[in-house]
Amino acid sequence: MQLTSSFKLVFLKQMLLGFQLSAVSSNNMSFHERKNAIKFSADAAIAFARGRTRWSQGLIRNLSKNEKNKDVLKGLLGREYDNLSKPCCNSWKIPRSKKILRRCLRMSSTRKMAGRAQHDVGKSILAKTLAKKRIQVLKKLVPGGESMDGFSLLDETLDYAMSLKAQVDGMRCVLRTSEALNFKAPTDSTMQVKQPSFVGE
Amino acid sequence: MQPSSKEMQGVATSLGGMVPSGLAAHIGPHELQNGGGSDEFFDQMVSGFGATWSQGLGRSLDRAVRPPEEQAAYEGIRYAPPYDESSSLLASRIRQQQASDSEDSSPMGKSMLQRMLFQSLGRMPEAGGDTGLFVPLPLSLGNGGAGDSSLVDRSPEVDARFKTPNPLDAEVLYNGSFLGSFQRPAQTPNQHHHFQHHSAQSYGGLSSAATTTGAGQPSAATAPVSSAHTGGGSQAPPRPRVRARRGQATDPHSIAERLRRERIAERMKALQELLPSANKTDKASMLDEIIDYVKFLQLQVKILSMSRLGGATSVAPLVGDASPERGAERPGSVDAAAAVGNDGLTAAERQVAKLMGEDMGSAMQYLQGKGLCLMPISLASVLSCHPSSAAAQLNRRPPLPLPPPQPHVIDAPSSPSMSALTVQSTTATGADTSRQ
Repeated sequence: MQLTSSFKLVFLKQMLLGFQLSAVSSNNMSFHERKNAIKFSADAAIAFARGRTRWSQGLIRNLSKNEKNKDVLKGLLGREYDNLSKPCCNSWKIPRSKKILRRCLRMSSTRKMAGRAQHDVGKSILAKTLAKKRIQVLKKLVPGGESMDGFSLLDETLDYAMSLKAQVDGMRCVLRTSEALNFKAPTDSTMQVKQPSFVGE
Repeated sequence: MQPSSKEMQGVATSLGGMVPSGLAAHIGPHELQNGGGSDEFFDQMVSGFGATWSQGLGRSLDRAVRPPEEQAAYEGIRYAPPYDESSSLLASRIRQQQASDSEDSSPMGKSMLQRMLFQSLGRMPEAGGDTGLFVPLPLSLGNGGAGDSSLVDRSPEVDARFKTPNPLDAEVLYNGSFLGSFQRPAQTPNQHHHFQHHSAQSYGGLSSAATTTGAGQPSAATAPVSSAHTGGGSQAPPRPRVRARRGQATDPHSIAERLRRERIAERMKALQELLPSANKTDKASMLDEIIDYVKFLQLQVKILSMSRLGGATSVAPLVGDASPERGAERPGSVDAAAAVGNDGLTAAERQVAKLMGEDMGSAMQYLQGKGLCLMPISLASVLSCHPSSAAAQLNRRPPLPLPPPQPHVIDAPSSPSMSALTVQSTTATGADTSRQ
């Protein structure tokens, strides 16, 4: 649905630019540094390609917490950086006001529920706690998820999951391509690593 | 996903040629979203005249900013059916929004609704008036005339209507007419501003009327609400009518509860379509699967980023040509790799040894990234004896594989011969453009 070719193309381009900017191909990086740089580029790329959604803003915010990455991020995103890192200032008030409202409603509803059957209450409370736990976990998974309510959280999850899938596909594709390119040229003059047959010694 | 993966392969291999077109298409994110390339997707997904209306509807319904394809698929499919239903759906959606507004006291609801309408406004003239977007207009608009005066006349009329015993029907019709009239006037920016004012007034009128009448007449409220929702939200779990007790004080809550559950059910359904597993049980297990899926995808990204060590070396120059305006530092990565291959060999060897201690795969990847490879010692010795003829020999032979490197890798002294050969190979490949 959302995984259009334009989205994938934008993502690929951004990711490769990010690789260049953070000099992934240089040799003076440790294993972990390089892994972090690659992941950083990939995340910035999907957030950029997606446009302005809550999770992409949250993602950019998380990425720019590291000061060192911030400059790379700015260079990568260009003017989009300002758009994406704009804080939704009223996003903190909404969950708080909702909590207050829910507390009032809950107090009034518990008074009414005293008349109903006990098992009914138990089941509903159990279901609610289960759902609540899972929603909390989901909030931690989706970037920027803490400040969202139930519905928008599910929307954002859907969006985020689709973008993650595109990210995985894109990275896999680049990996395959780079492996093919690395092996294609040496094949002509030197040896291949991959084939299982042996040449007699 | 098969065709799209092939697409991606095509994209990656011809990246140099395609990226400029991608660049041109991506001048700005707005253009990306309204991009012309999405039209064929629309034609596939949404059929018939409903395309334009549902396009506008789908865009406006949830958030202000979304790619059109997603909206068409996410909302447009469900609203592709006939036009009357879609207008009543819009009305039901607006009611839902108002109910949730009154429940949540969210200040964003109204502005979101306004934005919704403006977007459908913006889309309507593009839709073209000849697609048969004819809304039944019980309010006598005449022929729509010039937009402003007719709207001004309408609002007090409609407010009077709200005192009638069928407030919700008037609401539906008012919304339908309000949107329907937008086709007739010419599309000028002045009228946009006027629409803004009027919509502000009208929503003030609507919400106050809705709350007052909703509290006063719960019986009339429940019947149309339930009918509209069963029409639009048929995929929701069937709510027993018994719950909607008339005349009870908990009624707004139960309505709100029902609306909430339907919204959640809609979203669960969409998420379910996304996931590979088709387990259609209750909400909790669906949430579990969603969580697992997101975790799995994140883990995949992490692993992929670990495995692509230096793999971007070869692909980066393809992008570097296509993005001159970025001003990105182009380290000339291919040249750097070859140059470093000549110089920092001992450092590379130390690095490889360290990596081998951790993980064999990562060591292999590291070497591949540098244009090196592991090979058995015997082969290395053979090849290093004849450095000049190595290339020629290997061309004529069938491609030489390597046995699994585990038995041979342990000797560090093999690395000088290995690195010597592969330095040669990198320079050879750099110079050697013709295939033999």
